[in-house]
Order: sequence, then structure tokens, then C-alpha cells
Amino acid sequence: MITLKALVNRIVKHKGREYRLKREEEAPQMPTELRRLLVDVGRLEKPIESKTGKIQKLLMKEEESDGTTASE
Amino acid sequence: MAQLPQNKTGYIRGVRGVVVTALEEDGTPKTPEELYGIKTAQEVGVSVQIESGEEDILRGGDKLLARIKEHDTVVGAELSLKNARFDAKAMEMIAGGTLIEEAEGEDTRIVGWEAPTIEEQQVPPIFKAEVYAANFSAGGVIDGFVKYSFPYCKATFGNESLQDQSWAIPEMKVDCTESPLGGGAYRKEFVSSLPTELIS
Repeated sequence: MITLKALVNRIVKHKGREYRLKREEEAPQMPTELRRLLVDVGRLEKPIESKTGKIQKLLMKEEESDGTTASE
Repeated sequence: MAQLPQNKTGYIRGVRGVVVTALEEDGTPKTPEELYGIKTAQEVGVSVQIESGEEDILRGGDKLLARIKEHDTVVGAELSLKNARFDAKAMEMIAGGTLIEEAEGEDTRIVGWEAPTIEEQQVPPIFKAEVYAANFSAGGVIDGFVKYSFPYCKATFGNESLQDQSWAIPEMKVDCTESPLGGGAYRKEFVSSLPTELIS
């Protein structure tokens, strides 16, 4: 399970649910597609890829279990 | 060599907008720079905050013998900012709180604002406010603008009234003081054009 820090305070609504982001605190669990979007628009920190690619692998694993792919 | 008179008439009317710049506590702009233009300001009231000088009177023999009075000192200004619309981003930048966003395609869209908690209000956002008003020539033609700069401000969100047959006008109270970087509590300056944040 990957947790990312929030870069801003926000309340994000997505598919009928609300996710409350608190700056400098870990973001709540959310669907991978939303997490990717929030990383892209600068609401969540970018996951830092380790030398072993551990985080990348974890992300891919989560996407597989979500039924999404890394190329989405 | 001589000092020429001021370049504009100083006949000021209306309010064109307010540009807000987020600041750090030391008065320097945040990095990356965060600016926001409020284009629908309806009224910006400026009230100076005066620290009254002490007065002391000496009486004797049923008459006033002497009176001393310290000079009153303007220590800052209070702005009463009325915006003609609910502008969530402006509320967040000025009064703090949390923007509410919704995912929309590959972007997010602002759909609301939540007031800051009591705890969050203990550390309010600090910002610079620049208010623009039109300057008119004697013939009634716009000749540039006057920029009022308030270099160090903190605000609290204020009242609004929802009433039948009336527009709701949110109001905010803004406390303006001298910046830790120096200078007075506010400045008025002629400028030839509006900033990009208030255009389009």
C-alpha cells in the first residue's frame, strides 16, 4: 500500500466520495486513478522511485489489482 | 532642475479589482509566486487604525492650568472588502480554509470552499493586497489608475446576507499593517494600466 504526502489542503470529491488532504500529512487511501491525477496536478507529492524500482513495482501491482494499467 | 507636479489628476472613482499576493511571515512573496486577481470587487472600504495619544490635564484653583496631548498615530488600516460574487479561490487566499475540488478529466475544478477551523485560524494567511481604481481627467475620461498597496495583511471572513430579491455580497475584514520589510502601512501610486490578473 502506497501513501503519499499532500502538498496542499484540499477536499477532493470523486465518484460520490470526499477525500480530505492536509498539507504535509499522508493522504487518505483513494483509487489509483485519482491518486495519479492528484500527483499530476500537484496536490500530492510525486512518488520517489528507489534504485530498485520498489515503489514503481508497488504502484503497478496496485493498478493491476484495480484493473487499470500503468499506460492508462 | 525642478520637481514637477504629479502626473495624474487624482480624481478617483470606482474600484476595478484587487490583486492578492500570498506572503511568507517575513513579508517576502511565497515561492513559487501565488497571485490572484479579484475582478468583481464591489467595494473596498479603507479605515485607518488610530492609536490615540494620551491626554493629561493639570487643574488647580478651580481652573485648567495645563494640558498635554500626545499625537494620534495611524498604525495601520482595516479594509472592508465586498466581492460581488462568491469567489472560492479568493476566499482561500485571503481568509484561509480549504478549497473543494472535483476531478474533471485530467484536471481538477474548484467547486467550493470550507471555512478554516478554529485551530487553522490561529495562523491566518498573510498576503499583500493591491486595490485598483480608475483615475479620471477633468473631462471625465479615464486617465490611468491608482494602485493602493497594502503590503502586509491578514483577514477574517465576514458576514453575508441571503435575502429574497437581493444579491448575496460576501464581505471580508482585512487588517493591514506595516511590512516587516519596512515602509508604511499603505501606499497610493498612479499606474498607467491594470495588471494582467485583472484583465480578461
